[in-house]
Amino acid sequence: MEFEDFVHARGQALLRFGYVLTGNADDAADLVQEVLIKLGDRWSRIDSPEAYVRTAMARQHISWWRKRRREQLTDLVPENSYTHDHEPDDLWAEVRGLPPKQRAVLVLRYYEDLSDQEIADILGISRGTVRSQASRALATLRVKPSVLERGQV
Amino acid sequence: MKTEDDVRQALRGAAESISHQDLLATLPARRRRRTVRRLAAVVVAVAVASTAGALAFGGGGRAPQVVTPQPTPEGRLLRAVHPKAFGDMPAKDPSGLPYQPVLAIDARRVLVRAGERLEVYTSGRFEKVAEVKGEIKALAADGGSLAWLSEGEIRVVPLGGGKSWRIAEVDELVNRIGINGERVVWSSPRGGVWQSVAGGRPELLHKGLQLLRWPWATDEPLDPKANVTRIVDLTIGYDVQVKAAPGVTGLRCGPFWCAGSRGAMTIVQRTNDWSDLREVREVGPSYPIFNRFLNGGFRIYDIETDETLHIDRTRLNGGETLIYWQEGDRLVVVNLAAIPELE
Repeated sequence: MEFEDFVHARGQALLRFGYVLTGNADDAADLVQEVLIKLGDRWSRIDSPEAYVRTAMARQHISWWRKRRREQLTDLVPENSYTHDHEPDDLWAEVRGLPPKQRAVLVLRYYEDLSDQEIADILGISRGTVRSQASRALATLRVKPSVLERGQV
Repeated sequence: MKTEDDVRQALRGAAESISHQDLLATLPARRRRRTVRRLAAVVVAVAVASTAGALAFGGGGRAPQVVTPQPTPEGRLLRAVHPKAFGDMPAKDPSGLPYQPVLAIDARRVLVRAGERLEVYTSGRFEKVAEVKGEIKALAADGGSLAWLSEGEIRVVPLGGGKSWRIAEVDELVNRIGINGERVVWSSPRGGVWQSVAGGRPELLHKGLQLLRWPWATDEPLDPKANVTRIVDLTIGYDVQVKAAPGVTGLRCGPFWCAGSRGAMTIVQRTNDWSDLREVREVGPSYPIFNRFLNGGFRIYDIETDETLHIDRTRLNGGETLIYWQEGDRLVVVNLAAIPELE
């Protein structure tokens, strides 16, 4: 499969994933681009490109967040020119307001439907941390969890 | 108390709300410009091709998108001109799952999704058609059957419901499907148009073309600024050679009309002559829908009447053939298939 064909066919789906992960369209596009660029000449050696790219996006997102937290960027510009007119009580608006790590855990759990162990592997954190991050996020959103942990029998 | 399903719905809704135009709009103002420079062409290709993809959720699988609010409209309202295109339905099913209109089947019937269920809504009633797990990449319906592409598999079910059956396993690049009686067709960029007749073995129908709406296919280039050059009727091989007007880029055509860009202007032209060239300011270029409309969300350009009609909302969702928004506990749905033909 050609790289360009993959981007053409799956680019929009990746952007959607990037949007729920980052919370805004600008960062979503950056994230997809960054990961695709990094793939570079490794492309031909990747068996499952979509899974690979999505995993890389989640990791890159967390990496950016950590870096930004350290740097405390001061050159942020308003990014609301292309966000949508969600209602104030919109659950998505609340999800966007979560800390990036908590949001990433929720996205991987409920959008990507991954188990807590898979999420832990992707984000490089323990399964317990996944559970606690998810628990805090759900509490903030006033969501009643149906199970304590995903992927457990 | 909200549930985890609400979170799923919120994430899915947000993901589907991101508009292709929005992404394009972000490109000039990006903070990390290095990435933009290196990959802008590819991403623009994705964005424009997706927007222009003839079939959206209707026949080709694009998710509906939220359109950015526009200034106060100047001109006639769509509702005033075409009241028959407007209908409404409950916003949620009895269990509280939100309904998402995904496909205009015809003037009377709309396909909606609620969770994993696909249902047909008509005359105040919902009827279950199928259950689909996972992302639906493409949907298509003729008068009697529904076809969908999900998780690498194309399946078909009667619109009246029943047991679905698998038509084919396809690679992940396939992004458009169509159905016409016993014939199911699909295509991918560069992959050509394939078909299965009566559930038979898949066969390559035309190498190098992308499906529009059956029986039409086109040589859609990957470069969003390049123009299509031909439109082909796959049933009889009728081949329309597109003659792009001077200076037009990104031309995308149905069998009779094309739309492209010239500077900031949208140019609408006939496929193979320039006898009826239009300059449209208020609606961006896309594949003409039903050979007649350019759907800009808040603004619909009617090629037949050379008029842009407006929707006086500040927030709405839409795919290619449907536009909808919530009012209280109801969804207002604009079905472009219900706009009557000119007499």
